[in-house]
Amino acid sequence: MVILIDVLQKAADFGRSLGATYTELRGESLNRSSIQYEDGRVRSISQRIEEGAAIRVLAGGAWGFVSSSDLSLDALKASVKDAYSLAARAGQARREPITLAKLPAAHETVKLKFVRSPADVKPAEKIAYAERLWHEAQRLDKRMSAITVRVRDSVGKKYIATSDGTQLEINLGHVHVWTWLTAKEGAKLTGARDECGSTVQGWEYFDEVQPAPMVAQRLVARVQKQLTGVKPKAGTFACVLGPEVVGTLAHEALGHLSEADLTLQSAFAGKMGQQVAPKGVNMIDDGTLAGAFGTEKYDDEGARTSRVELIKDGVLKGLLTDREYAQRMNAPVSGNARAEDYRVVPLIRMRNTFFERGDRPDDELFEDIDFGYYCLSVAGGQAQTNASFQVGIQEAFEIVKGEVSRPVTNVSISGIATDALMKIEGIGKEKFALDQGRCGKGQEALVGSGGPLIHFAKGPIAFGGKEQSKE
Amino acid sequence: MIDQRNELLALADKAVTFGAKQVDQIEVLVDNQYSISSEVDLGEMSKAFKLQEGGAAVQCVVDHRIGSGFTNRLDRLLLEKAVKQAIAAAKASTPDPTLGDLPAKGTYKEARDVWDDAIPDKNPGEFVDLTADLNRRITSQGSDIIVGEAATGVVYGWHAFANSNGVSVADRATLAFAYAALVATTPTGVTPTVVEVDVKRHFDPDIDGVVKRSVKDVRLAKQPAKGKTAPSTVIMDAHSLAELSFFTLLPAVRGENVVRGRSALAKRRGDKVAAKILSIVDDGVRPGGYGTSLFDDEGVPRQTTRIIENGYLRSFLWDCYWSHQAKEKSSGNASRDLRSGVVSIQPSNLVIEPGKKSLEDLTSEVKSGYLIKGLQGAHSSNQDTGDFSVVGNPAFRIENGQLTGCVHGLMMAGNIFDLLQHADQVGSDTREYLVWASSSVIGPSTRFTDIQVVAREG
Repeated sequence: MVILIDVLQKAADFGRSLGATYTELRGESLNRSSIQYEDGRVRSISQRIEEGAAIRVLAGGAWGFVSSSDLSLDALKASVKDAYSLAARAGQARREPITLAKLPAAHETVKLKFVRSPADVKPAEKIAYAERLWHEAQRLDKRMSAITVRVRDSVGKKYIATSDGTQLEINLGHVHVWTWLTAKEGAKLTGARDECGSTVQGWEYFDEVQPAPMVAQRLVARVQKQLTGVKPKAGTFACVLGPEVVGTLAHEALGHLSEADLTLQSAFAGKMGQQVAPKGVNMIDDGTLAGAFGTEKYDDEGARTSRVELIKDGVLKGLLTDREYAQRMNAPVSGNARAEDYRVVPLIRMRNTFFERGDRPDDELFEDIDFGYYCLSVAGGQAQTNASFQVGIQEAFEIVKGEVSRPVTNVSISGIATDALMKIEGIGKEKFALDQGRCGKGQEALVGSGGPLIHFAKGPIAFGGKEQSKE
Repeated sequence: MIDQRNELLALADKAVTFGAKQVDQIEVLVDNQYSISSEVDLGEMSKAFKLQEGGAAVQCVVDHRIGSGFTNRLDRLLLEKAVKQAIAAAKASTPDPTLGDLPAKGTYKEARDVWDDAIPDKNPGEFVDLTADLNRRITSQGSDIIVGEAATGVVYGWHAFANSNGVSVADRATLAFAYAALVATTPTGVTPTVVEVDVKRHFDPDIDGVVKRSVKDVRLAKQPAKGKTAPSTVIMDAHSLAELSFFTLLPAVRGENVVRGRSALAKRRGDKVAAKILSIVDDGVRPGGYGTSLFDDEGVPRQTTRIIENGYLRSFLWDCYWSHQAKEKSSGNASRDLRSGVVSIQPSNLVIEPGKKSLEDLTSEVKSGYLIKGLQGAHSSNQDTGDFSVVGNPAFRIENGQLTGCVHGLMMAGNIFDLLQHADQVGSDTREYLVWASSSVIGPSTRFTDIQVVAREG
């Protein structure tokens, strides 16, 4: 079915006629493909079109939300009526009404610049990519014993029509490959993951930027270090974190606290304007960064995305907001309202979160470390409201007397972010990279994260190794 | 409320009939769910929801090639389109000569206590009032307590399955839930978030229990305590142990990983892999369990499978494809992602058999240790090796048998197969937690000795 913006607009206007403060319809029609490849076999291949609309109404001071796969005007109007009733009923239980920050109406068709739309790429080519990855991994090292490759992509349109006059047609899409590689040597088993993708390039991303042999080489190197690595020690150590780990720290440990719906219940509450890191430390969330995974022109309320200075020269400066929390916190609308798809409400989500480069030559960051760790690649991370962070590390080395030394096997790092920030000893000025990942907050968002190399003093970051440190 | 089982089954049967003329094998899963709920954010009523989510997943085999299709609209013509998509996908795929036959009709055990007639008749206003009441009862306990999020609601739905080998079966289920996620302010910031959930198949929300348990934990979380880096006694609540097990133990008992050489337990059936006091069962027919149903997502009857019995490894979990590879039988543990079409092996109700001692007893016997009621980082465990390195948060300090406060950033590192050998007591405080899409864990707290923990300095 073709989604008509006019139909969505009529439904939004119907909401206004009922007396709603605000009505928003977000319609989607997306062509999606998922392929899972394992050990020489296609485990599953699915191609489908998904269409539906999210209906959100603010009335009586609260929100009502309904989602619908029926995109006819009658069905959408019925959904608007339901959402209105839900909102009005919820509003009766509220002390103060929810109000929204003003937003200029937007009218635009946002184009996609894919050279090779994944919808036009035959499944055989996508399968061949996974096969090549597997064959290359085995060629590089015969101990590579099992692989799972998930190739996912989408392309289509999203429409936003609101009672405030916004009408947007957004062409969007993504390509993404997630891989888990297992190796076996005797009785020893180990594995590591990799993921990469793009929201600005189509399938050409895997032709030009991340061809299968490159991914295989990177992943095999990671797994080989797991096979030969020594056990990490347990305790607190000085460390140098690489861009991928720095990015996960920025995202998990600090970024979530900067999401305005979490800020007030987090370690950042009441700290706006305070020094939370040494001078020279800058952390940004940027939804406008060209080519980055979390970049979009508009968010799911129709607000322009923006570059937000979360920490500037060590001072907590900015928050990520949607219209509700911008109004509540007297902050700018930052364009961070995102919903995974039409089935869920938009929440405040990060986009591309990173530390900026510092002023130290990268190799200087290692010099003063008698014993510590250099952490390069991430297995995952998780945040908590009290600024406790955990980052799983799947590629790391010992630092011994200032030199990078033996690889170590799986370890996690953890700490309290607000403490760790104050113990930054130095930030590199050379290497900088942004990674691609997926964030979960009840629903998935595509995000970028990264930064330069950062040296943390011993103390705030604990390593969850299995070997008791003798220090 | 009309019972949709026959209607959904008719759709599934017709899709199978339509596709069977064109393919070697076909199976269709049709699902339709409704949910009504309301949500409090930051101590105030925020949202009310009314959702309907339907979908039909088609999988077919053409010349030993598998392909899937999906539609999110339950309409015969759109379902036929999904069949055509699945056929096109199969033709684009690569052949797998090891594919077996689809399951034939089995004997289904009645799924008891999974439906409450009252739930489909609930109206949204009821949940606005219930959530507001939950919120008020918590916030009235002190101005230092912030309800980050709280919600109550119900879910009800029907699903049907048919295949070209004669399976044609339908089921229904209801669910009611209440939860609260709280923090409390401290002189230096806030506590970790404490989450309490009540989930049942019938409508009898334990609002009192959610309030009492969450407030008790958040008050304890306000009191700082120091941990010590050393081998320690650790009690993990069932939710924490389940989360850790999901990413470490379960991969090793999935038949898929046994066949693919990714399971550390592959050659250990019959061996002692855990302490004798531990018995873990996958029970897909347990009355009232969240994971209880007539059939799994391949139409195979749900059953009870003893995975670990008194510490000994007895069984793995199987779906049709991997059981065929291993010359075993499916254990009824197939879970289908409707959209991607991936069928994976997932537990139904993972039951940790309880012991006799209460959590208070388990705690009172510990001179120095910790009670873990939340984990960070279980998902970044190594699924091939079972190695984990996680943060207990909240992690409560136990000193001389008393809970004395909250340790910030307590890390635990180890290997799940070592951890399970160090279980010395299983409690009697059985609770149910929803851990993954359609799986639950039902179990008590478990105590472990000699576990490496790392506490932060300062």
